[in-house]
Amino acid sequence: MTFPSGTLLAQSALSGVFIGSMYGLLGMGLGLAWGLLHIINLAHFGFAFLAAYLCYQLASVGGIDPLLTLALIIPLFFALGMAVQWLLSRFSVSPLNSLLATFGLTAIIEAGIQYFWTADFRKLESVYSGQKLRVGGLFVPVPELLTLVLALVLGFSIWAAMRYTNLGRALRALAEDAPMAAAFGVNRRAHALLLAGVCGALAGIAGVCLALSFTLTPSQIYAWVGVVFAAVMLGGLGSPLGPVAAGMVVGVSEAVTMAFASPSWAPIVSFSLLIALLLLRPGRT
Amino acid sequence: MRRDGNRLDLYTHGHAHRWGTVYANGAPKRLQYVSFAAYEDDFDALTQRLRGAGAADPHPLSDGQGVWTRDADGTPIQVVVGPKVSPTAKAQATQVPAPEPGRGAAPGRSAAAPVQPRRLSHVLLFSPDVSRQVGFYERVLGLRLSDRSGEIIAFMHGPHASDHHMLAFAKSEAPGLHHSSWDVGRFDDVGLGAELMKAKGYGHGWGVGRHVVGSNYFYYVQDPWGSWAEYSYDIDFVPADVEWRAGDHPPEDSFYALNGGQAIIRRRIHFTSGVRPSPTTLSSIASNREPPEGRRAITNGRPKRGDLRCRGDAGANSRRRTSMRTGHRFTRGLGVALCSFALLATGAHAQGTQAPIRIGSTLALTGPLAATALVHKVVGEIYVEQLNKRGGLLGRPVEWIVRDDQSKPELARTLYEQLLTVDKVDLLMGPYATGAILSAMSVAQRYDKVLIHHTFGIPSLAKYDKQFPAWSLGPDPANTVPTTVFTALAASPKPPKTIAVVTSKFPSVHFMSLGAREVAKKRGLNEVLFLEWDFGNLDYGPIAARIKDAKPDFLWVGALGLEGNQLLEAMNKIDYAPAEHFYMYPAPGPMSKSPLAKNALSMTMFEEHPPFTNAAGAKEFIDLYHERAAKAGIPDTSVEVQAAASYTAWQILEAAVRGTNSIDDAKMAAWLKANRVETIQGKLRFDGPSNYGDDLMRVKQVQNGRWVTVYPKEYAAPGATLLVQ
Repeated sequence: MTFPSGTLLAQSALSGVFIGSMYGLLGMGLGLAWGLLHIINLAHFGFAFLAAYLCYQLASVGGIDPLLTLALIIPLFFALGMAVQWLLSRFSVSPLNSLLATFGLTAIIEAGIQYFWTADFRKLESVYSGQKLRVGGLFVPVPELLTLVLALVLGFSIWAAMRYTNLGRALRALAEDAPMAAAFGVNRRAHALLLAGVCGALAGIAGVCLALSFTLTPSQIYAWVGVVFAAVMLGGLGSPLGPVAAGMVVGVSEAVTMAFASPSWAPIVSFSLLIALLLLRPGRT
Repeated sequence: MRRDGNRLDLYTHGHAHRWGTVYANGAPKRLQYVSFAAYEDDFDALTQRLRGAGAADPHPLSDGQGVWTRDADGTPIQVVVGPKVSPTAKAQATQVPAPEPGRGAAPGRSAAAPVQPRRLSHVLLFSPDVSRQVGFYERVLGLRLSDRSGEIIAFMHGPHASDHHMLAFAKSEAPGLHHSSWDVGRFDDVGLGAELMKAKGYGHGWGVGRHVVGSNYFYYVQDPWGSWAEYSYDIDFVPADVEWRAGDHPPEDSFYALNGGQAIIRRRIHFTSGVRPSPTTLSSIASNREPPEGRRAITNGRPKRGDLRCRGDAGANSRRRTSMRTGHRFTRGLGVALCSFALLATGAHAQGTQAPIRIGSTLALTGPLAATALVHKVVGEIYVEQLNKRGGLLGRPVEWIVRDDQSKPELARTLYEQLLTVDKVDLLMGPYATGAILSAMSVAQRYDKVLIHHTFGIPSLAKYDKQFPAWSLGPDPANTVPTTVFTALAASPKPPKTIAVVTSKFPSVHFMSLGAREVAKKRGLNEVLFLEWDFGNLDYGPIAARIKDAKPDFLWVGALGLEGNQLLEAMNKIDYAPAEHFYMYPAPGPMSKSPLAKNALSMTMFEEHPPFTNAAGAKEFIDLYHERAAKAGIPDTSVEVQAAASYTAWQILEAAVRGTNSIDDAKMAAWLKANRVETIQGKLRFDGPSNYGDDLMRVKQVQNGRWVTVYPKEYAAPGATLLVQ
């Protein structure tokens, strides 16, 4: 094994940062719903891919700029998120059963995608797809950069909202002790619906980023589940920024492993790191 | 055509006589008896002769009247007193009023009169001994020889005036019905009949042409049970008072090809049924047979080259039609005049009442392999449809049962088990892809079933002796395939000196990539990079960065489906394009469409260009596939390796059934090991290790957004060579 050049290492690490921000963006909505609503929403991945295919359809067939599709996708997926939450609370689904129910929903979404778009690969060719910036000796692809910026902006905004607004405080209070929060006048159902809507919208945004950077095929839905779950657990349930940071740790550790050693070792390194961090993390329960 | 319970009665327009009957019994078709009518004056003498030849009981399906015997081949013969239904004068052409002056004679296509056969002209029977049959019918029934072609075929007419032949015999291994011939009133009707049959789904036929012996214009169409029916116009007539001078005709002079000689060779009727056709087989009358007792037969409508010499210029000067000698009065002979036949066949209503042959398989209709599995679904549906149009297998329709294995090998195992134990399918067809095939193979082995599969990528794992591959990799692809690739590159304008091997650990590509390393080393290429990743990897950025860093002349990518595209995208993101690059196995459509895949190489066994498209059936299949694939929503509708391998697998299955005349797995397996099968990939053999034959993999390249074969030269697309940047 030879020591890789600085450029190779930096380029690989950058690739890890980008893939990590994708993990983080996907994990953000998942982690919020998990931590604050006690819903493990596997359909989050299905929604993200549904949004990706919608973006593909609108952009490549409808000729709309893929970023403009957000204007449609965000409200649509906000509504979808609320609808799922309404159904889950209507039937008082427990957290574990929510995992099962939303897994079923994901399978339905996958089948629907396959029905409309077939199982063949779809790649969105847009004005952004080929663009890249050159910084020093490094190349920075624009779609990935967009994902990174969105993940950071959204993460910080939601973090700020949770911390500094009454709405955010109410949500956190509900997560901690719902009956007590209700006693203080917090409308539990309304807040839960709102938060679920936000999570749905986050899935929609993640989907647009997926469409911009990746080739789509329905079964790819499941390819993301394991690593994003890891990022969410590592980053902390209910935290908007945690999954982004954790995603980047996983992404960079994998990328650097690939640059140093065989790419097939990457999952071993990143998941060993995950276990170590979970064990050593301060304040673990 | 009238249906009465489980029988079909055959009538013609403007004629009350029932010419023939088809009875359903669920077994392969078999000729039951032939019925003749005689004048009352002749009947007693004929009865004497029939009794002398050996009396027989009336056939249970018949009306039981008249006298019965068996002919020299053992076919029951009935003679009754009845009106003469064979012509007493030369049949006149249907009169079509002459058009008004200034108008054309041909009506519009939509206004063409319906084709209405007027009567049964003759039947042609198979016989193991033509001369013996001629002797019998001359001696006992008083028929006369019209013409013959050695021991291959003989035509007989009746003494009281009839068509040139009302009964004919063709050499074969066993007795049976070859065809019934139906007289139509115009030459147009022969062609229109052919068109009608094609439109109704009976596309398998021969003609239009003209026989020299009998002089009639003809078109033959195969019926659902494997026999043929002829549209015949203007057949020679033999009056009662004329001596027809029998001739012996060389077979190659026996007909004119009115649709062009070449076409006739291609579309020629050939009806072997598992027995080797006799080399002297006459053009139109090949060696169909109906089997002796206890054996099953099928008729095979597939054209086969080689045993027919057809000359488009079989012209008038080579005809040896004898002139009629008028004036020489023939004594009014004793004989029969009517001819009708009964046929016991596989189903009264086409194939409707006949139990189908059921073929079971699974396909990854959902899950990660679904994109490619859809190709196999479309191809299978096309093949089964074509097969049923050709009359199915063993005279039975074919039904394909497909279950969704969800891209999971363990589910494929369960489903194959179910197909055999619950659905009780007769035959198996393989799933997609290697993992599922391996599962299916273990089930097939347990139940001792033949398993033909499309895309098994690791020959060394195929241990079962009744499995047969359509994916023609040869037994040692890890050596032979890279050798082909490197040989092609060595002959290119810029032979590579350094190589990077990057590969997914997906089994069917991983062992090939390891083989590529070995071969590269042996050929003196310097390996500058070797990387492996786990299937399902999401981040190709670092892999791309390492390839860019290593700067290989040639990049070997072991990547399944999406992985190849993902790597190309990742390389593009860091502004790198490999000089020469090879992918195994890419998703063909998305790769050829990607602008990043310029000059990318891969392997192929079939592409949509000559010489591949010259294979029998290839063009028809390609056209159908374009249509069906588009309908199924497959973005890339071109026929390449996957679709061709799928088609090949079905061809192997059909060949094995036809070759053995059975769906017996042991027989089929033995036949496949002993015989070569003609497919759209080429001729396949299954006698090597693991039943693999030759490595038919050729090198293809993305050029101008499509795949073209570039090596070896004899398979290259016209004018295509391996391009390097």
